[in-house]
Amino acid sequence: MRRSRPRLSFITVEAVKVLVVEDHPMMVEGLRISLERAGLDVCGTALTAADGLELARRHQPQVAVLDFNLPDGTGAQLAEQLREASPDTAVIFVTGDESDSALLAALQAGARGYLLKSQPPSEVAEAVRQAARGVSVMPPGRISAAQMRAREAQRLQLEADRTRLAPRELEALTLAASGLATKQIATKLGVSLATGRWYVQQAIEKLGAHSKLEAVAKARRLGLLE
Amino acid sequence: MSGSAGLRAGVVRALAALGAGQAPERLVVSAIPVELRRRLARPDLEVFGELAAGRGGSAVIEVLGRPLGAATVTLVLHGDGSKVTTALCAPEGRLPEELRLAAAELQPGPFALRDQEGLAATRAATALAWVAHQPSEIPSDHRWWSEISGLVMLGELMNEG
Repeated sequence: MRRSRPRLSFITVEAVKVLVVEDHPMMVEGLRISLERAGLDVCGTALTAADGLELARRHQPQVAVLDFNLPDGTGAQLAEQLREASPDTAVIFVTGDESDSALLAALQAGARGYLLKSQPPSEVAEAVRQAARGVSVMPPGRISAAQMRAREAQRLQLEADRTRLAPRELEALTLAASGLATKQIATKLGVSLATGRWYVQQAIEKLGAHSKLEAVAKARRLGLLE
Repeated sequence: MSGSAGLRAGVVRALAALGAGQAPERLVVSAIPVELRRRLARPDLEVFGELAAGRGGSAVIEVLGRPLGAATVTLVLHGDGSKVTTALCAPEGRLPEELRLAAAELQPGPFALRDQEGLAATRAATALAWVAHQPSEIPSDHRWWSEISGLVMLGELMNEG
């Protein structure tokens, strides 16, 4: 039996087209070189969000590598603008910003990755490839921890807002925290016993407490007492 | 020392101590390297700090490791407290042509230092590219971190060849 020769097929793999927006010239050049060495096509680099947006409109890159802190806005704002200017562009942040707020803003802006500037150049290139394939390279552990901290901060803020004490009520509570009885509090505040009692009672109620002691403890936890 | 302002604040304090003739050992040997290590978050890179033995000598904090080959990214805190120089150093090294543009905003070659001997003097003599800041002119943490991580990136790219 005569075997047919295997047919050779040539597959052209197009390099992923990448835009880099980073305000530090050394970083932008370093990223360009490392991405090009990894076989990616850096179609443009920009030092500002405005220039980055313009280049994205022109080149429609598959991936945009953005710094978070840019001289004319945040990378998250730019990512949102890119959604209109270049809808198929996946966004990856490469930043030195370790804050929860930056990470969550990036997530909110639809970023597909969030890497730190100190990560090896090869990891950045790999993240770009993954993002171009539609894979998210966001750090799940960091995101859930940041979301948990943000929820807790929001809860404490809400609680603090709800329990906002009038200045005299706060003074009364501060005096109670130093161990004074209601009568002594009234004397210190220069008010009648009934008024002093009213201030303390208001503070207890606003804090959702059942006693002076509990109100003091709760106020301390909320950072209302110095 | 923690948080994003930690590194800059630590270096400013160490420079002030050096300028006052003190030996900020805890900052140089422990606190600043710990903060740098934390921010780098790279198990393959090591950070250590060294204070010159003699009074008035410079302090060195440096990043080294396999990804950098023989190169180091070194912070030299000048012994008179006047400035910090951040440098990419390599013995007998040469910055490849490809990386020249990336290093365009840096000063090329060795930098001047009062120390005649010791690690700081060695690093000053083998610097390939560097940038110096007086304490009041150390950039914002974001920008300075870009400088430091940019130098680490250049070192890695140089080593990858």
